[in-house]
Amino acid sequence: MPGFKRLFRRSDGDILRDIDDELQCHLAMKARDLEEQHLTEADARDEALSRFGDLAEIRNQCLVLQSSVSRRRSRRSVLDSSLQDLRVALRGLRRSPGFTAVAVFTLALGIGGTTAIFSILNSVLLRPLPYLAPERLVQMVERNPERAAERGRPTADVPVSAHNYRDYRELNTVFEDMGWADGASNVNLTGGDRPQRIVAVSTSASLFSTLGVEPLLGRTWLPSEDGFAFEGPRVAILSHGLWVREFGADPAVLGRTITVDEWPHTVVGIMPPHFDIPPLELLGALYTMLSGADLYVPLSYNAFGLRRRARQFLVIARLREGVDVERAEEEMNALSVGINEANSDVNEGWSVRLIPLGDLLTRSLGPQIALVMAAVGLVLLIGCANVANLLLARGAARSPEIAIRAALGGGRSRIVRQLLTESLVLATVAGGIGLLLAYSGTRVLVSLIPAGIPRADAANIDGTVLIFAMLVSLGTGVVFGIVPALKASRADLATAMRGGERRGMGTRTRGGMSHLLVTGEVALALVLLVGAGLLTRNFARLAGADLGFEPENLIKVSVDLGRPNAYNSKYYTCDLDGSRPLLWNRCPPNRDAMARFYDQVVERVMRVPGVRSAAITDLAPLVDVRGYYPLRIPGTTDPMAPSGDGSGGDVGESEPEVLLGNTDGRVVGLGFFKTMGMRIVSGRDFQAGDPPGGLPGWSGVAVVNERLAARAWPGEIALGKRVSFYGGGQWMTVIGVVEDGQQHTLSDRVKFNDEGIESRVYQLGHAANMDLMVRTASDPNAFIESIREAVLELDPGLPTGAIATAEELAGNSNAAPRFYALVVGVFAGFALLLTAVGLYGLVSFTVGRRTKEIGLRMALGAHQGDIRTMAMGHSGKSVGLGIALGVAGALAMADVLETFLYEMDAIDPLTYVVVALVLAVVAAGASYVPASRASRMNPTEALRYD
Amino acid sequence: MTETRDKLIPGTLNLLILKSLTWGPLHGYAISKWVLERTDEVLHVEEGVLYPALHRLEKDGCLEAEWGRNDTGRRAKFYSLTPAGIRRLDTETARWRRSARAVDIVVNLKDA
Repeated sequence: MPGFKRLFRRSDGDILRDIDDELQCHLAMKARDLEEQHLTEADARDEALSRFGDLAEIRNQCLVLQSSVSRRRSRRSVLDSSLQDLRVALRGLRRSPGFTAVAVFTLALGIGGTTAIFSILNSVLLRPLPYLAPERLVQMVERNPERAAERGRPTADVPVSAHNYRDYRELNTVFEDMGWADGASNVNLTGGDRPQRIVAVSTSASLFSTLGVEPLLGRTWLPSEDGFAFEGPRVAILSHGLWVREFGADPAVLGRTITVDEWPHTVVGIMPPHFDIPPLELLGALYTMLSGADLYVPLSYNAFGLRRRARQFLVIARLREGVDVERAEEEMNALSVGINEANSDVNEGWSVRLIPLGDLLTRSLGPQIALVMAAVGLVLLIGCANVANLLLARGAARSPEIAIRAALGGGRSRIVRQLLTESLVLATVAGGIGLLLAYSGTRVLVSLIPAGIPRADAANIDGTVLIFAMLVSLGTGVVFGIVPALKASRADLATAMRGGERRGMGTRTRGGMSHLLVTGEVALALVLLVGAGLLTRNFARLAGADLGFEPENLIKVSVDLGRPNAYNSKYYTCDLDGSRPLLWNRCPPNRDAMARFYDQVVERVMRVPGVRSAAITDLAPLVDVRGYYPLRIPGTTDPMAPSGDGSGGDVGESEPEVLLGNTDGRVVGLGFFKTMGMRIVSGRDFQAGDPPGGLPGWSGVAVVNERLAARAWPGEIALGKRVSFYGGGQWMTVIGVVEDGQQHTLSDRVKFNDEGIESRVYQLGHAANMDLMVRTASDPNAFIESIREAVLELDPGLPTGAIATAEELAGNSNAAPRFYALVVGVFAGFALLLTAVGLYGLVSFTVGRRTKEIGLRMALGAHQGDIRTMAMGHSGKSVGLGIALGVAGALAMADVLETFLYEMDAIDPLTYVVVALVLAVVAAGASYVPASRASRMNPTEALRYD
Repeated sequence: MTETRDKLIPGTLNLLILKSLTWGPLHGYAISKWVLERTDEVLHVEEGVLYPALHRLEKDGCLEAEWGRNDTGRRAKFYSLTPAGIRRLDTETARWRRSARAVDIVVNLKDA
């Protein structure tokens, strides 16, 4: 900064010289007057000097005063000249509206896009989590790498066991507090006009205080309600959303009783608006279900009634002030030695990991957002190159004006400042328009963004985004403005006056710079187009992929009997009168009652006119990951004896078995394959009378898919072979092989990155929570109401939950790849357009500069074609070089892109060839238009052109 | 001759400088000469106070300086009044009138 100031301020030496001049002048005049009074010249000088007083002292005083005058004056002069620059710039831009419009539009597009994407990045990643001192919040997970590797799990991290949680909480000195949430579950809220299906999350009392959040009204759990709710009165806390939606924001709801899963709960608190439990990591992925909870309840059973090995709680801890994550993790793992020793049967090999909550989002969403940000950044860069080229051309046209100004004494830095001011004005105007574009663009993006990106919908233009937009605008202004300004300021008067730089020395370098910029544009556009091409091909492949079932006219309706409670006890084996404490997980279902109920549901729904068939499954396809267990098949060796964890069966009876690795297990009802439209490849479908699979003491039957058959018994016939999930001799016999139907969403398949997730064993059976698949004759949406009523007719207290058509599910499954392909594709389109505009401008400019030469050539007999070739050849070289550089750039980026592709190589020759061709054709088209215009010029006029 | 010259009354220097410039821009020596001539050689502005005062007035924005040439062609710094300087002259004049009148009243009192 001092250096910058000195540019505009006089140095102390200059000031002193002025003071001396002034004082010398005084002395001289005084001496002259004294001489007139008849003193000799020398005497007069002495007399003048002696009358003057202490010269050095006066000089000093003046110096101090003048320094401050100079400071103030320099400030004023900078301001004055800046205002003048601004006026000149505005006048200049008004004079060439075409240039201004193109430049502003180009930049506004880039700035707007960048700002829109940044506003999402800001909302998702940069804004602090809405808790007290969020930087001190961590998620605690337990991990066992060895065990995970053995079982082929994608991550070693799992949630925390209640007992371990209690031990760590008691022993540690690094946390202020710890709290946990159990997974989110769907519960019935009854009492209104229609039973409601809402999302409830069980939490510990300490979770709210750990997060540092107070309820809006009422209170959170008392320690006595924490995890032992069956004993005391049941309590619930409403989310702000549910409070407003269902209770009209009535504060009197506090203390009232609501019915959750048929149990009366007293409302004790209401959370503030926008309160959510933060997204946490679950099995290596972001678990966002907690964030949408409608209701918070204490755990409805005693957490310590669970076994220590049951690792199911999502734990959040708050670090003490001044304790960093590494130290805390060290202490936790030091503690784990003792805890593990005391529980060596189940804790062997387990350790603890702490994940800062802030990192969680960045780590899992950073790459996606970076991809989109990079795409839009490239568009902005191409836009800058375009405007820089326009400015270069403009600079050439204005070189006489600039040369005259330079000759008249406007210093070079003054001229550079003037031209930069123009760029900054352009960038500022473009930034303003870009902000408007970003405002609407953000809305569009948010509506398209795939689910599972928390806080994306809160994206808006806030202070941070405004500052970002401002910096980007100013940055672009300098980036595209500085080179043209420096070049133009070098204009030489003589050359300029002789007719611009048409034939001047500068032509070569200036033309070179323009071509360099176009080369860069082409290269950047190619990188973006390759990215878009790969993502589009990836999406197209997925969208067109054979699901293995018929998604048309197929709908899924969730039917959930719920956890055992007073109302649904008929489906369970416990006698529930609501007065006795009970562990729900110790209350097994009444299988006969459940089977009867589901049989009735299927039978009743099939009677709805227009329904072709219906069947139950434990989980509709493309919804979530459900069962995923190591599968056992009979084997000659026995490397993995049954673990003997008490899950049933007599170990003594078991024959040797081998673990096949993780396999997807599905429970379905009769008619499932028919309803889904899946073909039985060999053997037969399930039929009435087949025993359900997988129950202790049953020897069930199973249908496997082709992928599993090929994996387990390559080259052999699968029929008659045996499989088991449980070991201990509980074999199921394979009675049929069905075609591979896709059951998992794409993101789940990428996440687990395991072939096993799509190799499947189907068994006959039912559970408390089933999805009903219904095949209809026409648009399935028309059947929603009648299906709902059919279920309610059988059990009026049972709400039907999530309903979705299979086509919607298939669409959601591809939502993320579609989004990235769309966004990157749109930006690549912009890049292509801008590059074409840039090329068009460059060729027009080059041709215009060589009008006379072209006229001469034509006069000498050159054909139109020759002229065209000449005009295009020049830019052709730049385009060729740009394509080559772009291919190299894209290849360098292949690793990054690969993470967004599913079973597809990022170095895809077809994509590269097609993209290079498209770019070459567009480039040729963009240069052909001005080139052919040049070739049609009248030679006489061209020669006279100036 | 020297004994007829009086020291400046404190606080009048700025007034004199500003007043001298109401006739147009002057350089420092011309200002001191103007004061001497217009006061019938009674008031003499010493260089030791003149130049610091000029530069202070410039700093305060009451004067504006411009370099020019004097009658012998020497580079000289000419001062002129700014709008702020004109306002300052008005207040200084009023203040002088007030205190001169006050001193006058006292001087005119009959001896006891």
